[in-house]
Amino acid sequence: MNDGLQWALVAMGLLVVLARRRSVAILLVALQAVLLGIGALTLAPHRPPAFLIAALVLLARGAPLFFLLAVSVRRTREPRPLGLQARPLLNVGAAAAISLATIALIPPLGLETVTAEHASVSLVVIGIITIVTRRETIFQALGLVIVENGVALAAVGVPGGLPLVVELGVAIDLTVVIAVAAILHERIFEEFGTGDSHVLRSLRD
Amino acid sequence: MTDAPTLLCLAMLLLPLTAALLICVVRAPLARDRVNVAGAILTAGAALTVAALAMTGTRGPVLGGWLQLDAIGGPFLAVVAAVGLCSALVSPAYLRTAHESLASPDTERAWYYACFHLFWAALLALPLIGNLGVAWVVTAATTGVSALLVAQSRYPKALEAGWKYLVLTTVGLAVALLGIVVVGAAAPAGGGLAGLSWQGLTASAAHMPRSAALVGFVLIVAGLATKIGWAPVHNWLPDAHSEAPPPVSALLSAALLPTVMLIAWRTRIALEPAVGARAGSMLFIGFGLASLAVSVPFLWRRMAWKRLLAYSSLENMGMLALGIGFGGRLALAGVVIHVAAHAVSKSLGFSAATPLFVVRPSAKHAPAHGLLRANPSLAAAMGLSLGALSGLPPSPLFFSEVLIVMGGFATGHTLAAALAAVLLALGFLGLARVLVEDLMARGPQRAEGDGAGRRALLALTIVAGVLLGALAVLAAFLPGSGFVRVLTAGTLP
Repeated sequence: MNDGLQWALVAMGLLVVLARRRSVAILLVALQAVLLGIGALTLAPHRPPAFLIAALVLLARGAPLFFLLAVSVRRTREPRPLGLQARPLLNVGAAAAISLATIALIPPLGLETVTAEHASVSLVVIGIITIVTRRETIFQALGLVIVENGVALAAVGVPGGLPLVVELGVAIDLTVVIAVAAILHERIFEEFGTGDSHVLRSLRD
Repeated sequence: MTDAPTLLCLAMLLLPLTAALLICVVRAPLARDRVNVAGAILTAGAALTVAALAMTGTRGPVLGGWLQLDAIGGPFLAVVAAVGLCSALVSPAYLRTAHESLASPDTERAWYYACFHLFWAALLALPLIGNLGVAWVVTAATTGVSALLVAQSRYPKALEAGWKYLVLTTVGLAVALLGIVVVGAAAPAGGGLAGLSWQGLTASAAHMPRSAALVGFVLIVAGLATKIGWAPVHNWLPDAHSEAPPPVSALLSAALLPTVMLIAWRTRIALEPAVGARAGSMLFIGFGLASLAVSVPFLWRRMAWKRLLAYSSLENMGMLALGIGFGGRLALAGVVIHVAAHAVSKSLGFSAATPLFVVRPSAKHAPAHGLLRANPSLAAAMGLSLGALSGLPPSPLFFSEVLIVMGGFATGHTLAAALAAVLLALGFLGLARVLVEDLMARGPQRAEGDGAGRRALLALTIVAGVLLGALAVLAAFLPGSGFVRVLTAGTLP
């Protein structure tokens, strides 16, 4: 896969950390999923036939994810903007710095190219940072998709890719998880009047 | 392989799916309860027969290699079947007391039962799946339905617990998937789906570069650890166990955690030629000691019944990690007894929670003080569960813990075994304190309970007592048995 495309995927992940509007973040993640699928399709001629189907699955899975999250956002309009991030640029800087540190610390993963290794590890780290730093439950669900996109990029970087059955299973599982996340997000919104995860802090010992 | 195991495996997986479908079709609540009970009895019957076949020597691939009957999968399958049956049987009683749900009042029962049977079906498949990639897919599939079950009551705390569980375990499983990708890349010939089968991995492990295989192995086990609930990635566990409906808490604690741990154990065995015995052992021992150390302070705190059971799960999963890490005949015999005895004790403990919350609603979020005087039959069930979980002799958990610690000394892990013994003693004292200071303390006068419910709980307590006694006797014979010889030789004979 083209190096520039892989780093573009990472840049989109960083933009999600920075994004203020939920709809913009959903569009970015959906675009990331589609570009990942297109990138995989470009590799298909040099891979076994099953890889083409796996690449199509990767391309197609962005649509239901976008639909589920977009519908959920439409149904849960926040009465007022959630507390904006205190230091959005600092969060992006931290995400980039932690990604670089992780890349430096992790031994070679044995993927097809070094760029694939670095980009996939970066996406996993950025997804986790999105979950940790963003208060909105929708952004945390988007963080999950970014982490999975990072793993999918790594899988594309393996000469044979993941077996088709596993690739299909991963796509279905992710769709189910995001559907459940959307259901829970809406119930949280109904119960608390907001999708701010800061209201979910009563269970402590 | 004859046709009987294939048909039984097929029945074991299709029956809960059919039950889920039928429950959605029928309308009357009573009919839904009946389909649930009938489906559960048939499913458990098929699963227990498959487990018995696996434990008595019927081994090999089933359903075109998707499933694998072997010695190690048998006991885990039996545990999932028994815990699922118990949870299904007590579910109607829970639903009679449930006031709110994620679904509308008309569909509440159907949603609960459908999610329950889908979750159970996935758990029944897990111990027998013959492939790491497919095992990951099925493990991940349990997350969605079980998160809905955790948040079923729709109380704010249940929503919080369900959300945490969904997010944390999904991140963990994504890390495990990255590990699978790394292992797949390290395999010399790739090999597609067959390359990720337990046999395929074992065959290719010897030719994998150690560094890449080790990174993949650590990512897989660390990722699965979030789902198993090993410290320090256990944060969802106390919340989900305490807020889920009691029958679901039993499934999570006694079936899901050990079953996912089996996947980690199988991964260790398959990748051992690449990563070495020491690295695998150290990783499991590390998770085991961390889980024991984190759980002990909480076992000393006075807290709500289900939350206490949740921290006991953390302790017991830590003990199992130690047993797998130590390896050897004694420790692995201890692991088998521990999984079964933990399942019986936890099923009883969580089943007692439904009547407990009826007679003492405050017990949802506070210790159940003075229950022995107020409700002796309930206190007997909770006392038996807690006594067994604490490792009070002659609890089979006492014998399994002794076997695991002795196994640690026998295999040269002296420091870890000694530390485990100290932490276990502290955990025992904490739970014994709860037994004496809460359950047996002076409290309110006799509370009125539901007569039919009391009889059912008494019957469950007697069955659990008999099973625990049988497991205690079994603990004396298991270490020298041929069954454990197969386990020490690996998962595949």
